[in-house]
Formats: sequence, structure tokens, C-alpha cells
Amino acid sequence: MRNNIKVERAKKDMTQEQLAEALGVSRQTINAIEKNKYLPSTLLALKMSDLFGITVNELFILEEGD
Amino acid sequence: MKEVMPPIKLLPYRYKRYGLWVLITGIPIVTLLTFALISLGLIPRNDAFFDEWSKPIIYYPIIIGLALLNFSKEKEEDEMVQHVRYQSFMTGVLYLIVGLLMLPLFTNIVRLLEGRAIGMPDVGGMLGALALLLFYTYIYLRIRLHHIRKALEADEE
Repeated sequence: MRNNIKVERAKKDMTQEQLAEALGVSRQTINAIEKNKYLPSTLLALKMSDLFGITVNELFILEEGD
Repeated sequence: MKEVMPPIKLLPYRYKRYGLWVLITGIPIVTLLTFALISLGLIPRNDAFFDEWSKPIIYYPIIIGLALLNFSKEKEEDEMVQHVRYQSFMTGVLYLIVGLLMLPLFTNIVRLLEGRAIGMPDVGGMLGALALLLFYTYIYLRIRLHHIRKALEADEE
């Protein structure tokens, strides 16, 4: 799985810290999600996509083999 | 539907500090307490501290301190930390199982290298505690899964 969090964050001109604060998680969690080291819960993924104004499928993209 | 999988409750972050304090100050405190009990005559033999009380008594502050560190929230507690905590517990228990089961082997290798006869080290209590931990964990898992299934079935009806 890959994700577009970094791109969407850049579009909104948000730092990892600001995104983390908006979602109520730590910056290291955002960093881990961006780098695909951690898969977020459905709830967090929904909150994140809602914040960026896109669907979860646009934010997280399944890859072959997933 | 009623929530069947509530989040795990943890102590507030400040308990980490208490845990550290128990770890640092606990051993001297329980040692002094034991000596006080000896001097009051509540523990009959003067040497009882060294051959009977010292080893188990120091584990009390160590276990309480480590439990407080383990069961309290991180400064920034979120779902990733909870995931890592669950992984850490699993890994810790696995290392404990392997370590305890291998302990007699390693002890006897050292004994053989030193030219001594082999023997069983005193691991009975530790193995018993480990067996209880695994038993409690497994029973809790079965009970929780049973309750969740029941709740889901009731919800479907």
C-alpha cells in the first residue's frame, strides 16, 4: 500500500506536526504512516481523508500483492 | 450496537514517574522495612533477611515499578503507541518463555565447562509464574472472544 499524505499535506501547506495536532496523534505516528511503517486504523484514515477533503481510496492506494 | 471491544485502559502518564521512583527508592525501602521487622522481633532470626527475605523482597519494588511503567500512558499516547505496546508485550513474553526454558541448558553447559556435575537449577517458581501468565492470557482471550461473539449474535437477531 502507498499513500498520498505527503502530497495532500503539501497542498494544504501543513507540517507533520500540524497534521498530527489536527488528528490528535503524535508527529511520529504521522511520519510512520507517511513512510508506510504503520497502517492507521479505519477511524484515523477516515479522519485524515476528511481533513484533506478527499476519499480514503484517494489517500491510501492498494498495490498489487496487498 | 453496544461497544464490545472497548479501548484498553491505562494509567495516566504521571504514573511513569511514580514507577521510576518505586524502582529507585523501593529496594532500599523494603530492605530497611525488613530490617525493622527483624529488630522488632517479628522476623525471628537475624540472618533470615539474607537467606530467606532478601531475594523475593527486592522483586516487589522492581515488579511494581516496572508494572507502573508498562501500564501507564506515553506522553503522546495514540493508536500506534498502543500497537507497539501490544507487540512489545508479545515479544517480552516470548523472550521470557525462550529464556526460562533454555535456562537449565545454559546453566548446565556452564557447569560442565567448570567440571561440575549437571543439575536442575531452581526455576520451578519462575516456570510456574510463566505458566500462570500464559494460562490467564489464554483464558482471558477465550472469554473475551466468547463475549464478543455473543454480543454480535445478539446484535444480528
